[in-house]
Amino acid sequence: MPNNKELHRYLFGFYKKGNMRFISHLDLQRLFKRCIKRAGIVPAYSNGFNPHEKINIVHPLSLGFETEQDYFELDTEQPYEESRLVEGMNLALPEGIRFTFCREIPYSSRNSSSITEMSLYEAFLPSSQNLNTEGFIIQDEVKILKKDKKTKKMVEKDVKDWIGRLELLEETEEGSRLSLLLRSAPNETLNPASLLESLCAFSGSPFDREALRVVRKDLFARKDGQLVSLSCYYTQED
Amino acid sequence: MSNVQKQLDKLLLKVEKPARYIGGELHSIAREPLPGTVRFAFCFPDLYEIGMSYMGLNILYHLLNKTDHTYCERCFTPARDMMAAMKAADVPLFTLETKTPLKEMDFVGFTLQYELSYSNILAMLDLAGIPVLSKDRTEADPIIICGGPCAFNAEPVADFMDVILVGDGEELLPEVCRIRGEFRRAGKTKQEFLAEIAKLQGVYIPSFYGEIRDEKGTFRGYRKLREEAPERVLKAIVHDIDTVDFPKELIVPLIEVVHDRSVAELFRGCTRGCRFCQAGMVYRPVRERSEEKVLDIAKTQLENSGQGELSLLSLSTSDYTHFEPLVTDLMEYCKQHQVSLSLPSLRMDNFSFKVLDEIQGVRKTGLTFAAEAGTQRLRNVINKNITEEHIFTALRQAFDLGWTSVKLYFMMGLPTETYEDLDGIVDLAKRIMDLAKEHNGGKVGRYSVSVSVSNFVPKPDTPFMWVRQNTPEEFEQKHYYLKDRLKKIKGVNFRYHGSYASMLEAVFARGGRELSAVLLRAYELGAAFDAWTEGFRQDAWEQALAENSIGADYFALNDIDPDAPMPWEIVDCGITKEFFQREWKKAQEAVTTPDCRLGCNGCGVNAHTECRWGGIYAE
Ligand code: SF4
Repeated sequence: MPNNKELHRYLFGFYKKGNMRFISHLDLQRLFKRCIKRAGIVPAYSNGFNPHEKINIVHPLSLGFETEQDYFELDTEQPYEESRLVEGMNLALPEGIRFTFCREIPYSSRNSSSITEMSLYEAFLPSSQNLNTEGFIIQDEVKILKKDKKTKKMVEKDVKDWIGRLELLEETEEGSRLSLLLRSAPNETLNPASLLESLCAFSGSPFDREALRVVRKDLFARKDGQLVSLSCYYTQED
Repeated sequence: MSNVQKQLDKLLLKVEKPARYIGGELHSIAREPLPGTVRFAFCFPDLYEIGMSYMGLNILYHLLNKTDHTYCERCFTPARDMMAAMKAADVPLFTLETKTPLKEMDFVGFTLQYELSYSNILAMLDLAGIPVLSKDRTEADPIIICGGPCAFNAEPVADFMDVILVGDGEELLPEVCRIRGEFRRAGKTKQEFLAEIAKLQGVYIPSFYGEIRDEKGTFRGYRKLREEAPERVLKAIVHDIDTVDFPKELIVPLIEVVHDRSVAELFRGCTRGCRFCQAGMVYRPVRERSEEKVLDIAKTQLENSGQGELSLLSLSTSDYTHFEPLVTDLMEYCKQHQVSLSLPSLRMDNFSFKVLDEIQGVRKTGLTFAAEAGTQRLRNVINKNITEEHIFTALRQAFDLGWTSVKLYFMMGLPTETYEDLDGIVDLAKRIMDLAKEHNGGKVGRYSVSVSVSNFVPKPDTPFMWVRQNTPEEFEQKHYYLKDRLKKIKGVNFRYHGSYASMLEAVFARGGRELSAVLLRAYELGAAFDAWTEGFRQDAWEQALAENSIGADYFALNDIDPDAPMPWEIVDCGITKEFFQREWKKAQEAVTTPDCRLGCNGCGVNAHTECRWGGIYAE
């Protein structure tokens, strides 16, 4: 399929909640491909010996996290009505995953993953108390353990620059609720679990990775120096 | 939220592929059951990925959930890591749909697809906290029921089962569930219920029969313990499969499973009469679904799911009466909708080539021949109707059309097999490579032949049911023999299976009730997932067999007297013993039996239902 042809790009918002948090990125991709087929939408295909649908899930979540607003991009050759796309894509979804909107955005060789900078999360840590978020944040270096991509070993890394906000929302007997704005950019992604683990260690509080609940609230890109939600990044003027 | 769900939230992040345990797939049915509903847990004794690829589950799930009396949910064997996590956290085995503990079900039903899944049945009952032995269960426990191909000899699991359903389940299972609801409402006991359903064709209540053994402990038949029980249990037969509803909405798995595709069943049964094939015998007679229905099922399923693959289900697919027009229509549809079509067990004739060429396009996958044996003599013994001429005519055409890889399937240890037959395999592979080279200017190039050998397992209700199996040592010798010779041919690769597992398979295929104790013991010693090479616990099985004084020379490795009573004869598969004996005799003389369509071979199934195939293509 010739690449020079004008393609249409659609940006979808979707949520993924409850048990659907256990669906991996690859499974989600397969699911969305089935939705496309089920809806009778004809996607654009990549070139090459083994062409595949031109789709993109923007900064896919880690297995086990929920999301209230994530994004999915789909390229097509022919134009579609946005509302029909949402309707069609929602026909074959399991409960817990839904597309919430669809908007045509200008086609570009760069996708929305490459312009995204930050993710906003809300986390609940059962049985973690007395978290010293302020002390943690004002350290000169905020270190986490991160897997080195090449050596596959866990190494310490300073991620201070990757933290936009770390705020304790509420602390009860049941645990602590926090809001986190963290870097989500190509090759620079800070996983909230790693940061929270480090925070708990710093505060001398227990950390239970398996009991941690994380919900992503939204993804943000920078426009005119301001962080804006991806859902309003592409406005009319573009 | 159910209790189990809350506990699960804590477990699922610890285990591999947590989505195996969450349910919630498209077309799965999660609902709050009305009071009085009969609750059925359909259990597949293997991993989710295996069980979800099995069409029978979808058929019965659909049929039960369509009734107004029963709610059917699913359950699979949790992988070992999940089993351990559940035990540690005291989470009982639950249904995927509503996360209800199996213990609270009215029925816990197992499908018996292969013998090597039996230990998983025990694992599942154990995880569910249900007493594994039928005699230890009370009114409060669910009724444990099973069905599927291995139900034709379910004696090795009979002590664990309250009810065994034999034959086609589409009409029988809903009826059994309906009666259960009625009897429960009337306050009747489990025993009363069992006595009632024992009257239905296809229902076998193992506790209604006692074994007769002579002073040496040899099995001599069964004694009826209850008036209601029939002398023998005749399999249930759906006379016209076109009238039973086939699902148009398959459950669409959220994770990758073995087969993730739409499936339409073409027909049940087979007229070819391969002597090793149990399915080809016990699912007689052939019953076809109409072309119209098949097309409608296939299209609706694809439309409802968005799946990218369609497969047709049957033995010997090309035998379908309207095969060419049907496949032509389907190909057209699939092409339009970018769906790939897969047609298993095709006969290699001109039409098949046209079809394969079209559906495989430029990226041709391998061409498969189930030759089963290396010489014509042995192929005659097993009544496998394929000749070298067929193979080579097909291959010439295939190489011309651009195929480069050929897969050959054989069975090893077939009755009367000698090393000459093994040489036949080597010879065949060699001559195919020679032909390939001829097509490729004398070079091997991209051409390849893969030779896959499985170990012959004698099955009940086949003409080979009395035959001794090769010992694991004999199998291994033969594997080495072949390996040595095949590796000398460039372009040929060789695959074979473990022999100890094949022996176990034969032991359980033909064994009797004494094997329940062996199963229990092997499970205690750690056996589970025996169909998997990884983690197969041969030591557990060896010990369990030894402790129960069942030597390797039990059924598997001894010839059986064709006149002796056999444990599986409590079930009548519809085919007469005389037919099997006649076929066995012909096999020993290497005499073939033609396809039923050229003339009825008198198997006897038409005494129980209409068989309209005898001689339809006779001259
Ligand atoms: S009744 Fe005759 S035609 Fe029908 S399956 Fe048996 S042998 Fe074949």
